[in-house]
Amino acid sequence: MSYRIILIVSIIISGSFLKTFAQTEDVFKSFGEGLTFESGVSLLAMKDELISKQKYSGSLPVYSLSWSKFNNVYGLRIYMNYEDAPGLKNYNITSSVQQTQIGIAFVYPIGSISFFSKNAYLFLGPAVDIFSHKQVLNISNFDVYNASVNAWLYSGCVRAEAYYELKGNIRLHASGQISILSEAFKSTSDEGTQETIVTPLSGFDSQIGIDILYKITKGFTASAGYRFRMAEISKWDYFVAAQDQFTAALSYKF
Amino acid sequence: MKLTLIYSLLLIAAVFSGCRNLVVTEPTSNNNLDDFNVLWTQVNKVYPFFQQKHINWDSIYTVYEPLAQRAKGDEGFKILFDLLSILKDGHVTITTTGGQELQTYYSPRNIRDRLTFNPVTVRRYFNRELKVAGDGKIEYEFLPDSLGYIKLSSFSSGNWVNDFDVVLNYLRYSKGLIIDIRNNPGGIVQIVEYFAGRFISKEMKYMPHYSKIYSIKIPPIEPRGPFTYSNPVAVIINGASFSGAEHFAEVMKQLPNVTVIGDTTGGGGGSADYTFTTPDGILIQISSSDWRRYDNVPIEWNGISPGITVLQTKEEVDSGHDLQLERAINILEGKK
Repeated sequence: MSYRIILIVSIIISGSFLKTFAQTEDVFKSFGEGLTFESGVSLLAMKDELISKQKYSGSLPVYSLSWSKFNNVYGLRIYMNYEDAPGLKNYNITSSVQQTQIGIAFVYPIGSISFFSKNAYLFLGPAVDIFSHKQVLNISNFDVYNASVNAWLYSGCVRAEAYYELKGNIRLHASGQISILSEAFKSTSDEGTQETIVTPLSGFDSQIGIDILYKITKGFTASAGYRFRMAEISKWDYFVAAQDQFTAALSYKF
Repeated sequence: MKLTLIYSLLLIAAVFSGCRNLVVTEPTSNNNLDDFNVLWTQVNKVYPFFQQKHINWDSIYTVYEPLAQRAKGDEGFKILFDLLSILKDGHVTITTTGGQELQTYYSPRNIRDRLTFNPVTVRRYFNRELKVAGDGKIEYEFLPDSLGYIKLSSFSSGNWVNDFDVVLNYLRYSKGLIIDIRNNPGGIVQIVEYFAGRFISKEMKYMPHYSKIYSIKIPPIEPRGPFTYSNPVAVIINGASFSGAEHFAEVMKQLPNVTVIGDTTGGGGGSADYTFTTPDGILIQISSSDWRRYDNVPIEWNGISPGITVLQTKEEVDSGHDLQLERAINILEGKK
């Protein structure tokens, strides 16, 4: 609960330092556009108390595809992530996890903050995110005996982004997204599907990240970044999945 | 300055790269050995099939106790699961702390036959849609040639069972009746008696029952309802007919107007009648009952064999041929 409060307070404090800006060319240039393929490694730790109170953790590959475009008013992002972890471990017991995330975000330029005598351009806007999670606890060699759960989180979110130019062709990109209201579903083999509404007080789906972008040519941009993602639901059997992701990406602007 | 900023960001990334472990923490308790001891003791006290299944429970203790001592985290849960799997008993379950119930065993006949019944294929034999009653647990209708058909999906308790009388009244004047209990996972004795009571005209003794801890007298089956259905009846069974469904098949098999058709049932001769919780909050369900057929052979593992054996495969059923249903129709129509 405490980290949720810290996050919300941080957003409010950050907002007080903003200064609005005219929509200059700089704003349009700063927004990262194009088709991006991202790949990397995700260090995942999770606990789904419907299945077990134990913590399962491990590394898994992560793949992401996104499309971004800035028109005269807002920036559009459409993204999709896929992760498959067949061997998360709790001592010698394994658990298989598959996670998918798809979403769309509309971010509007809202102002800038001066930072080392340069501006960091800020964007804020709504996003819709669908997060699905499937876990199988491999207690037996036969699937029919294993505990399994499928969960989905349909969320309305707030997304914030910031771009900061370090040098002519190197920029920093920071982003954060947190759900405000979600509809959560879970399905188990013996209990069927359950549904509940989740607010930030009873769970959320969030991510924060930072990337360094290097413009290789006029069309291509390479980037490397770190992202922390977390989904939590305390409204029913406690579920939490948190991951540190290290990724590299290549974007092409058409 | 910019280089400093980049280094700072890399440092921040390195520091925060362990964030997940701050958020997702390890549980503090480890009662694996206590859980093991409670399970072993309870099973030892009540389980009735050690002799029939040639299980030496004491020697199992000596093998698994050291494993339980060393177990950490969910290794303990797996040891409990493996221990219960040794019983090879379809009534034995283990429930995760979050409430998900896991079977520890399905009989090979159960696994094989659960796909040899297909309700879509069954519908091909009707010229109208099946009616549904009993909260979806009963499907029924007339087949062509005035034969009645009832599919019973359960013998669990609940008000839904009252609909059986309505259904039987609808099919009262059928010239023969098929009761399909394939893929029926069972229920409770009282409901078996409730349904069977509509097919007997005088009191009938129930099957023998043994238990290490209970001494219960099972009341006889009483005739019930406004009429006794006395026309020919075919009961269809398969390897996924289990527990209470096997009781029903065995009771009905004793009646002169009843033919049991299909394949041997799953062999669930226990009951889901004894539960306990381990110190770590894991719910275990085992059987303390040993139900026998009328010839005193344990139902456990042996199942109920049909009077007329008709085997069928998933491929046959999926291609639109329910050989077991066809045979039941032929029997009731007086054909071979």
